[in-house]
Amino acid sequence: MKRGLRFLTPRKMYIQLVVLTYFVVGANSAYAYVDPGTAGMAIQALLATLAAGAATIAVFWQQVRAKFDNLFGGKADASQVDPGE
Amino acid sequence: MNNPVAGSFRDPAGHVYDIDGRIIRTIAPEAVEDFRQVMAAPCFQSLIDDGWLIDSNILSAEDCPLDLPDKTMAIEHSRIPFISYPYEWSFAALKSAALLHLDLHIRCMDDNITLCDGSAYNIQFIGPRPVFIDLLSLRPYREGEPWAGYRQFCEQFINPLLLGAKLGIAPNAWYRGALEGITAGDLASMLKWQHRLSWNMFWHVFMQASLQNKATAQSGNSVPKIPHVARAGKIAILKQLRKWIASLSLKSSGISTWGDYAHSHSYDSDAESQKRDFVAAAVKDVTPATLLDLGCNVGDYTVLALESGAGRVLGADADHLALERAFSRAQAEDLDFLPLYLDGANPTPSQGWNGVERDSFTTRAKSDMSLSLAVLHHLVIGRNIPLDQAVPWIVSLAPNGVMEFVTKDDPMITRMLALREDIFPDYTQARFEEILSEHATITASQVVLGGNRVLYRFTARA
Repeated sequence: MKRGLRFLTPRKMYIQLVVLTYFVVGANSAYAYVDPGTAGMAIQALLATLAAGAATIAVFWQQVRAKFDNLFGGKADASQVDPGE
Repeated sequence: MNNPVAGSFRDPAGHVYDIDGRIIRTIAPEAVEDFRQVMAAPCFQSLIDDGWLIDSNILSAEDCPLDLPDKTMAIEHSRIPFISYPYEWSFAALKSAALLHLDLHIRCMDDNITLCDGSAYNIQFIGPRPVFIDLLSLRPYREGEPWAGYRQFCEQFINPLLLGAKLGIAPNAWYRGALEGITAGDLASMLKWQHRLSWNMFWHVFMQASLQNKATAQSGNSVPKIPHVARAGKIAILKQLRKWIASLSLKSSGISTWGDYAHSHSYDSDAESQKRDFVAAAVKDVTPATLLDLGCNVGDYTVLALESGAGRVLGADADHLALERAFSRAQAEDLDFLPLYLDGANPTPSQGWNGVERDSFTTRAKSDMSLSLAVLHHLVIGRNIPLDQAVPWIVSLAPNGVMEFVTKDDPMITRMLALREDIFPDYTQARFEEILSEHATITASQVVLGGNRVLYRFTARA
């Protein structure tokens, strides 16, 4: 397992990012009768952060596109973009 | 003094009791407030109405057959016709259960309700329809809390599914030996390097395994903390998992011993018709509420039994592709039919904590009638189970039944014996009838296929 991951150069970077996210962000009290596992918690923290980042980029990109459309084609109005999309 | 059912002990928030056929769930005083919040959520009743969540009625102290401690709440649920376990499910059934788990969680999150675990044992099937049965898994969502059941969900749903989808290995045998599921570490060591290129497998399997190894190695050095996971992020993870699981399908060579049985067996249409008439008449006479179809294959005789008056059918087969087709057929045709994985020579035992947490198949498979068509010779000749043990085992499964005896002249048995010594001198029709008569009353019989196969209808002796 450990050997197999060596070919991925960013592995250590990933792990450090995950561990960083895991320890830097806030903490709640436990709320479960099952053991969630350290890795399970860390993966969720990171994937949730990535999902939030992707959503932000998507909104930003839509706004940029809408502005360009408005500028050159008049197809859409940036103010009409739903930030929830 | 009533004791909870053997598998109900992990969550101290409540326990389940089976009292004279009534299923009662108690809710401990410390969990009552949370449960009231869950019940007040708009999704709660709609999930029950849609059949996603087991129906649940609050019992007053007078209606409750238990002596409830002070401030303890009691709920009554409908009884599930047959309790099955994930290691008995086909790939399609496990996938269907996983999707229900995620769909229910996503819907609950809209009302700020979450699931505190990810256990596959919280899903049961009514026919081929999955239903979530553990009410106390539903808890009010607290801002920023991650899904505590994520690892459990991976081990009990995702990893077994990946074993089937990516490696073509049916997870049932492994799962039966590891009731808590398959760990990311174990799965990661089996997957191929190219699987790391998959975004989902990279994170949910390889990275999880790697981090868990790291955490284990450092376990003495730090106390782990629970991270903050934003609500939107949590929902995004659930939706991503749902999309991923929906795309998985059982990888197979396409070769199934029995999946093509309906098209490949040695019957002509007349023999098939005779056999169907015999079975239909027997089922009509008994009209069983529950029929056990041992060796159900893709469900041809199950459908016939349902059409002939059986209330519901529990199927059992050891061929994974046949089960896959049978389950999909049950869903597509809305049949009250649950096909499960069962090796007749090694039926699911009673196991788990104290050897009783999960009941054996034969304890659970209480049915009114059994159908065992072309099964016996697989036990006796295929697996060397003595005839005088195999016949009474089949008879013991239900008070009424139809059993097929296949003679050694049948091409199927000729093939089975082609490469091995015939060490079955007592595998004869006469000896079969003798043994069956010791354990049951034969009420009808019919020869089909030119005498190579004989159908028997019987009533078990009390």
